[in-house]
Amino acid sequence: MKYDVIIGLEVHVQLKTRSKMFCSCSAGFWNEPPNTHVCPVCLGLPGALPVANQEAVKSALKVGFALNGQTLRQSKFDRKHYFYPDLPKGYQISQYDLPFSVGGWVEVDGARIGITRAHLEEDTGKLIHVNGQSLIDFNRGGIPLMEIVSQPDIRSPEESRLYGQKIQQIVRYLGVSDADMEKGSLRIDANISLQPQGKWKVKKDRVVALKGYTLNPKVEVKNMNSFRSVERALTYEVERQLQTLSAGGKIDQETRGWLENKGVTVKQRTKELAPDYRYFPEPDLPPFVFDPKDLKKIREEIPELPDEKINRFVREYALEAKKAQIITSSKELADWYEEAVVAYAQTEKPGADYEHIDSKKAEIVYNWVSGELLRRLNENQTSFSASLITPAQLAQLLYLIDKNEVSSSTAKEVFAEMFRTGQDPQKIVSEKGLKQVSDVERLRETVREVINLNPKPVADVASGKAEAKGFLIGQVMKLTQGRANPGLVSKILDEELK
Amino acid sequence: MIDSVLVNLTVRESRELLKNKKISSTELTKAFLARIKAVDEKVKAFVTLTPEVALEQAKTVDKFIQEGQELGTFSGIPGVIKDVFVTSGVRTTASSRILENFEPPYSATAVEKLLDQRMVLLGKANCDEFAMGASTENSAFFKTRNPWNLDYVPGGSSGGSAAAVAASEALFSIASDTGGSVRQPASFCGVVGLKPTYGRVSRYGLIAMASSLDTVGPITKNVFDSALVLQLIAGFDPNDSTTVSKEVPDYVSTLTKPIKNLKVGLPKEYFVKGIDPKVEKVVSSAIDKLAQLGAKIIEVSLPHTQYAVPTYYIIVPSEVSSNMARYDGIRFGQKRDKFGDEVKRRIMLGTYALSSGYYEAYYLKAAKVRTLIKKDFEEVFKKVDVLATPTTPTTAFKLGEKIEDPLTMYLSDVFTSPANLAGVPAISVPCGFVDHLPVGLQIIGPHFEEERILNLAYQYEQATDWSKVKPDIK
Repeated sequence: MKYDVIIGLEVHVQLKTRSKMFCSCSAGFWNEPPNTHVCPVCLGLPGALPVANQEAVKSALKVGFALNGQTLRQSKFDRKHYFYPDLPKGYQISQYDLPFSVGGWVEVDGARIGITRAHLEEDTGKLIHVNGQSLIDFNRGGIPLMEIVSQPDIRSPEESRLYGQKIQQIVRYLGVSDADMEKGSLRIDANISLQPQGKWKVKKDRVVALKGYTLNPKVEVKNMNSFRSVERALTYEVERQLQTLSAGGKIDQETRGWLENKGVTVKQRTKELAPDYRYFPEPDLPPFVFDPKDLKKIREEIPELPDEKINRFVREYALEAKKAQIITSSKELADWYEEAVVAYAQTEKPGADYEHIDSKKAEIVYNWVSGELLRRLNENQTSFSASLITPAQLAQLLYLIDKNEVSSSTAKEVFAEMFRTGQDPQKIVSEKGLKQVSDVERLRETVREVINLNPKPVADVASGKAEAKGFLIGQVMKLTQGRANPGLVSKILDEELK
Repeated sequence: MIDSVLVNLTVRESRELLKNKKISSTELTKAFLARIKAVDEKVKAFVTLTPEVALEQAKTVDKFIQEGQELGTFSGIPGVIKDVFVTSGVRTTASSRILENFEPPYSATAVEKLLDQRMVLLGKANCDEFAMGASTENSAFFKTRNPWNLDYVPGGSSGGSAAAVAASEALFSIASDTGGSVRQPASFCGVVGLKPTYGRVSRYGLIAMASSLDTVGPITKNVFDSALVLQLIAGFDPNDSTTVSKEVPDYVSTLTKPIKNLKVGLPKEYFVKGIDPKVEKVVSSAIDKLAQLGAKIIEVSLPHTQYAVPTYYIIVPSEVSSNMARYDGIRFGQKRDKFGDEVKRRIMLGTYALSSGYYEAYYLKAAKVRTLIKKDFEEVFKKVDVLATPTTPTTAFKLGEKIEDPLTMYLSDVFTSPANLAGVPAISVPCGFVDHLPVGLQIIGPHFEEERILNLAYQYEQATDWSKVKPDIK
């Protein structure tokens, strides 16, 4: 039997706000001593009341817009009840039937993955188990958390990873989250099942069986701590379910945890009964009624998102789609690139705007940024914000090449120095005497010297061996420490050997 | 001045005497501590006494007076706080074993405002466990008694607060009212109880019972003092999103406004069988008095009144089941078997009402009926300025009389809970006696019209002497 792989993902994203979701405790808790960012509200002490963080609400609305979702005219918070030691109130303030965003989609490698909803809630505390004891750190408790639920539209482990990365890219573009899986500021849980081809369909956000068929239960997979482990865990899970089904076995509806070291998923708990969270409207927080004018303002604050940027770079700079995708992988990179492109265009045509850029120039900048710059950033583990070289400086360097002031090979050397010190290219070139020699008389002297010292290659040139000319040019470059203008050298050499 | 005179002063009178240096706060505080020592064995209004804190505060205020510093309204005034308000560093139990040893690290906003002025905190008042009850018999610690007759309940849930004020053990109290918990005990004990509009006074630091209905209000010896307390505690609180940033009017200066031609509605649903005929008679003569004062008495209708108690007893347990979830045995040092019967009952009722499959039939429906009840009030206040009703259908009942029958106990809220469901303000003011037990007149106003109900209650009080009659505790 042939099976379809059906995956839906729940992505949790911690929002990067100054304070927590419902109190004024600082939300910057990473690496802080346990239980130092706490107050009566986030500890759920008797009598304490939540107050919604407006910055977080705004961020949540932005995420909704960016995912092409709909904002409801009214929204509210609800209480979701369950008992767990990391949940101090015995309920989590979340959203049930009126989330901040409903519907939407993202595009992943040409496929459109539907979004069911995106809502805002509070993160829980963190349990730490040591020496048979369980400790609770409430620093994380109350951090604003967005839950983004996909439709069961994902068809492979690879697509799952790409979807997760897309969400990461979008929230980072919006500047609302660090979305770092290693730090837990982006977390992914998956629901996965295998169904025989042609026996199921998606109806109202759910997988339903076609007539006469009973669905295979879905399995929830947790504890995947990187995009790589998402793909690995789900690949393992597809294989496990496939083997079980092929052997005539049954899949249990359960929650399984991914063990990174062993490369397997293991059963954590059965999930035969859906938990009853007893949702009801949070009486401590008045409902939200959005003014369309405010929503419009928030929408206008959304920056150009990766898909639009890719399309524009392809359209305006004639960049290949693959290259556009690479250069837009982060907003910082794309912004840096574009700034350099514009600055480069303006070296020749002051006032040139980004809509009228010579595509050759865009390509040259792409090569430098994706090659030299990214390589050096990676080598030095430096981020864009910490990098010393500016886009305008790269543009100046490229201009020096165009003007024959430096050779391309020298330019790489200059770039290295710019990267290290943040100095302007002109300064480096003049201080280090790297200026390309284009003085015809000076070059002619050097050429003559080379001709005198190399009678054999000179004879070879005369007998028509082209490689010999290359050797002679190389000798001139050597004597000028690479600063000679190679085109000019070639021309003079031709004249002298005539 | 002798103690028996001091403890029978009002807030207003004590304040004048303090300001004019006729008495010291220490003197006043000592008189109350002595009074508590003398009568609280019988009344049992206090769960926690804080004499050291009280005397320390009194001493500081006396120093300020000597230095000629400006005094706040409640500087040096001894009061008691219902034990459902957290008080920083002072044990706060909600009269429950669950919080028997809980010492909060912060104070409720209403309390904080009083402490900022250096009120003298005498202690914490007994109440029904987590404010669930109408007789204070649900306190996990002991039963409070009615100062007018020690065999009778003081009402509840704020029974300790009302009894303490009635027995002259404190000049005033801050209490909470979710379905009548300020007004009903005030009525039973012959003192003044005010439930403000929902959103007028911050709930921050009030241990939640039913969050959408809980309000914070004063229990005082007279209406003037009630206005003084409200003046201080009312207003927007950035820590409570359900408070409203509406301006707080001057409640004191408007007390003396004439009430001529004020339209007073009598909702016919509140004068039906089930109400004790003797209580009805007392309330009727109070209404005659209002007419004599120039008010226009008009019969009106609140057609959904009969659904108030059933609606209330769906919404309250639902929210209770949620609010009690934090006492899960992990953090406050006590396991859940320490909950009393009424709390357990409400947790179970509420858990059921919120369960999937029942939510629509119970909670959601109750929420809809609540809207209808609210509309009843909005409609009626287009015709009249205020409503006048009995606060309760009977006077105080005997200890043990209703405790085995929760449904009968729930009916104590029949005239008070509609105001909570609608969110409107209401006050109970003493209006006479039936068989030596006090009767309360309830005056209900439109949203944020505390001024109006205080004004009418004050005028009524001035024209009668009921607030001045004191119980003889024996």
